Amino acid sequence: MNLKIITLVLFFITSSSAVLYDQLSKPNLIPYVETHKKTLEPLPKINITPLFKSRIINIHDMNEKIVLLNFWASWCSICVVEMNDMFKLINDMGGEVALVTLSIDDTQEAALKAYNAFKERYPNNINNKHIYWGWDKDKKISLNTFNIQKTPETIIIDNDKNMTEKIVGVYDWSSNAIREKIHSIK
Amino acid sequence: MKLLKTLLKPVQFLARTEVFFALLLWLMLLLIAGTLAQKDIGLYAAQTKYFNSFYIIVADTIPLPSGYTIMGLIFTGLLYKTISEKWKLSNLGTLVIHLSILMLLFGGFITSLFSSEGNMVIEEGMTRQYINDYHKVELVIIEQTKNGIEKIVALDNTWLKPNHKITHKNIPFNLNIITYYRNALVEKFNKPLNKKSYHTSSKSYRISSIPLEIENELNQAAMTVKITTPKSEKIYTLFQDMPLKSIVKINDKIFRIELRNKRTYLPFKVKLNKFTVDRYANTNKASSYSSDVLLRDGDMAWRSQISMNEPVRYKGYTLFQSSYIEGSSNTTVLAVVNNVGRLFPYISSILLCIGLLIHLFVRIPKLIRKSSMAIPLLFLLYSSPANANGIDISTTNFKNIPVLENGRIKPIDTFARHKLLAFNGKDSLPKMNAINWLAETLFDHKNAYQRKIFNIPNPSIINALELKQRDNHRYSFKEIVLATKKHLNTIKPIEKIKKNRRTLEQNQILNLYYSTVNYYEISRSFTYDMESQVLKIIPEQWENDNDWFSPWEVLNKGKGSPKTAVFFNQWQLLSKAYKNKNALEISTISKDLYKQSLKLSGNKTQHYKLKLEAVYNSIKPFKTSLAFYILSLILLMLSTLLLNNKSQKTFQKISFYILSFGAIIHGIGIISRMVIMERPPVTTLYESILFVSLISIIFSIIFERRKNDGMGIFIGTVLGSFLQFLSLRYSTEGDTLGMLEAVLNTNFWLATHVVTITIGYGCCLVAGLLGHIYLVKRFINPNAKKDLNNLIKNMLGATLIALFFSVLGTILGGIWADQSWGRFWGWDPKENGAMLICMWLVWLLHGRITGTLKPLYFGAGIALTNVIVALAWFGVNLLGIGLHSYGFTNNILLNLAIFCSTEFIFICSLVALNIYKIKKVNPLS
Repeated sequence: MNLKIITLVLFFITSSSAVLYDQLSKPNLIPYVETHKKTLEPLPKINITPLFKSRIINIHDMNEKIVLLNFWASWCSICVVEMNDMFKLINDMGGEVALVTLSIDDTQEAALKAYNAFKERYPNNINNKHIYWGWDKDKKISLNTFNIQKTPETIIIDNDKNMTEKIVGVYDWSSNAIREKIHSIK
Repeated sequence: MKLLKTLLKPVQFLARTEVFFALLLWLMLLLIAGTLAQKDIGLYAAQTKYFNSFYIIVADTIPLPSGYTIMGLIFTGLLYKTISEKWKLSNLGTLVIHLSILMLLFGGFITSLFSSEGNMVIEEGMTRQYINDYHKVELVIIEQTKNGIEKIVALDNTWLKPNHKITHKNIPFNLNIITYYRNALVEKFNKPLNKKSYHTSSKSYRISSIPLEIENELNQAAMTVKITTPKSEKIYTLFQDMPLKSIVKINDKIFRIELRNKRTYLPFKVKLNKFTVDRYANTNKASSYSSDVLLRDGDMAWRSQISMNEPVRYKGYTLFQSSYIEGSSNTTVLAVVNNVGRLFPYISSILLCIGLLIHLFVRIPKLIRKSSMAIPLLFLLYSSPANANGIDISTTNFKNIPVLENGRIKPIDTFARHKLLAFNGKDSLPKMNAINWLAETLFDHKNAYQRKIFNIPNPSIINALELKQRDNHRYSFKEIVLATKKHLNTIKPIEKIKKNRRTLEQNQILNLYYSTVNYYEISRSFTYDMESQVLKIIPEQWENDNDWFSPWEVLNKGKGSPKTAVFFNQWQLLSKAYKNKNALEISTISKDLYKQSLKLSGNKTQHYKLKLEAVYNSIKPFKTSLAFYILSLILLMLSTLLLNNKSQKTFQKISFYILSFGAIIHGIGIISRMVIMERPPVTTLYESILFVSLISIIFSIIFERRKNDGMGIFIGTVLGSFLQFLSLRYSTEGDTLGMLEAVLNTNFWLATHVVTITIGYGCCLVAGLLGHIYLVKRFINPNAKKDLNNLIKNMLGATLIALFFSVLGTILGGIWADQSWGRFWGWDPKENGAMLICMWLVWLLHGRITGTLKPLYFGAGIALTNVIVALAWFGVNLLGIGLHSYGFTNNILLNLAIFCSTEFIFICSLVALNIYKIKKVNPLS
């Protein structure tokens, strides 16, 4: 009888002390896991018809570290508005970043007309050898290769000619955010 | 010594099994009453009234023992029995079980005495050190001293009564409570009253009592109180969350008076850094939410992530994610529980399972006789049904292309089936299967718009739209569009009427209208001439998230990429090939298209899962297995008609093989679902039915192999057909492979708790059916003593197995609840339901073992287990309250009532007939 009671008491004491131990234990820390980055896609081979020069533009052959491939149209007011800020950005980056503007206008004349208007309005910023002007004849590149229908859209291409990001719609190219973004890609 | 003996007498009485038997019955009744009461008075009040109390007053006068008393008596009796009993190896199992029950009761007692819980509401960036108890209200008087320190006097519930005078040594004034309402309506006067004896608060607000809400957090307490200082006397009005501060000034001292939810201060601080809600892709349904918090205790700090099912524990407190408030800034609601006896259930449940296992191993071999038989294998030749009108795309890879629908990536074949089911009421057309229908809808508008696919079962709608009455009630898109165009003036205004105010016809006509719009959107997926957003076949290419887009969305939301361009090009080619009816080209392009689609989604969508789902769709494993079960049952019935013993055995054998084969298909179906969804077998009510039926069939097969007399086949086929038939009702609701609520979205606990508890249900049903058989056999031939005794033994064995799984499942559920919400047991309806099953089985077993229950009544009790299981499984969901109310279903009330009452009447009449027969045979007994 006594043995039984002692066993029972011991049993309750051991379990109670386990309970007590649990009360005094440290918090369970759960490490915060960041989501992994998407694998980058290589830029497909494209030959861009120049807007006014004779040499075909080939992004894969460019020496600049980063290329911004901008799809625009002369009739697209927001594309036209943001253009000057992009010119400034290229000037600020001192040859590290190239801008390829690709007009999706139906006719070459319309695009050229817009180009001349830029030249008149922003003479200081537009003359930069890192700015390339292209025209997308029959929307072969924009629609057929990139599935792009609406402008402006800008694809950022890194040094390995991989597409890192696409910027859709209006964007503040004068902001610090884009500069930080470019630095982070490098 | 003599005194001790007299003292022990009542304890000895309590230790008697008959007394335990009665106490357990009372506890079961209490449990049922307490569960039902939750519907009216809410969980907290019901819990306090029935379980966390010593007595309840019934009919305003009679006090009856309740939770604490009954459990206390059981504890005392069991403790005495454990000590006084001889400790032998043969009853080791029972001893261990009894010990664990003692432990469980003891732990429960400690928990109810020393645990506390509350809620912590924190906005992003804020820090909190206290929790609110929604169930309790306190009146606080805060003295604000000059150096910013607050001296607080808190008066809890017990002080808050009308006509109660309060004097307290730390308060330099008197309070005289005039009125106190636990739930009050607060109204603001347009113009403040002009009464001198009133404080500003009483001049501005009027309070009146309103009935209590079931949810305590919805109750707003309010009171009027007369405050007498040495200089003045004024009447104050106070209520919870009052925008106005009530202040009493005495000399230089300022006192603030507040009525609020009881606050408990914690020994540490919690800061919310960030709160995030994850949703299933393209839906508003939360898949999980989590709070990034900083725990600060003095100089030490820990950063931690609190999310669903992953709480943080510190200093005995468990902080878990309870809910959130959506608004301009994110606010998290953490529930905080301090449970001292947290570990007791763990220890006792481990012991309990060990005990039950020992008991099972000692008992079972004696209870079931063995005979041997081999299970041979059968192969089924499965041919797909006749298909296609002209071109057949269902044999190509086209059907495997991934689509996102309702938050899940599935093959386009499944998508087509769901859409067709929604329009047509069936997932195939007479001469065309779903995938061919979809291809036609996408690529051949001319024929598609004339195909009669819309089901309008209600003739009054056909009349209203001036359509021709047809026997099959099917109408084409073109017909409906022409008809609705004429009546657009009557359809459009229906949209503005609230859903519950519309008539049945109005709802149906509007649904038809929406269906046609939806159909048109699907058909225009690749024409880009409307905002077609239904067919989401392209995963996000640029951002780092899980959204999918329709072709139109890709172009208009700037989601296009070189890969999508290649993909769309293939679709265009397929469309051309389809129009040209070039079967060879369709096949090659489909193959390529499928490859492209997999490339697009990266490695996320696994190839084999999509293919498996397509196979699952074509086999329809649960319908097929149902057919097998019914066939097996018919053969078994036929075998009883045969007189020749040998041919009877042959028929039984064939019936057995068919049953086993059905079970194999059934199992394959469940395994496929597990693979496709990457989750355990049971996650929804629908799946629980499928699983329970498989388990009961497996048990019946084992049973049959041992007994070899056809009884196992009978039990298996009856249960299998019945449950599979029941599950068919759920599968017509659309995708049965739906996504889960956030709280359920955890594989480990689903895998353990839910599976075990459903196995328990299955075993209970097997035992229940054995009970029925016993009653019938006994009625037919009461003199076959040996046969009946064997049945009783089998019933005991089945009950023990059922008890083991039910208890294990219930305990695992408790452990899940403790891991996720910080409490082991919460008297939630579903928990009570599970416990009711356990207690019922325990009650029956003890009744039989001690001989209190005669075999006939034991048989009846076992048969009634079916009713108890039905109530616990489906019935508690009807209450629509508690943690498991997500399984709520409207249409099962009637069926459940019919089932339970038929069972009850059937069993009662069988018992009555048995008694009558015995008396007739032997009038003396």
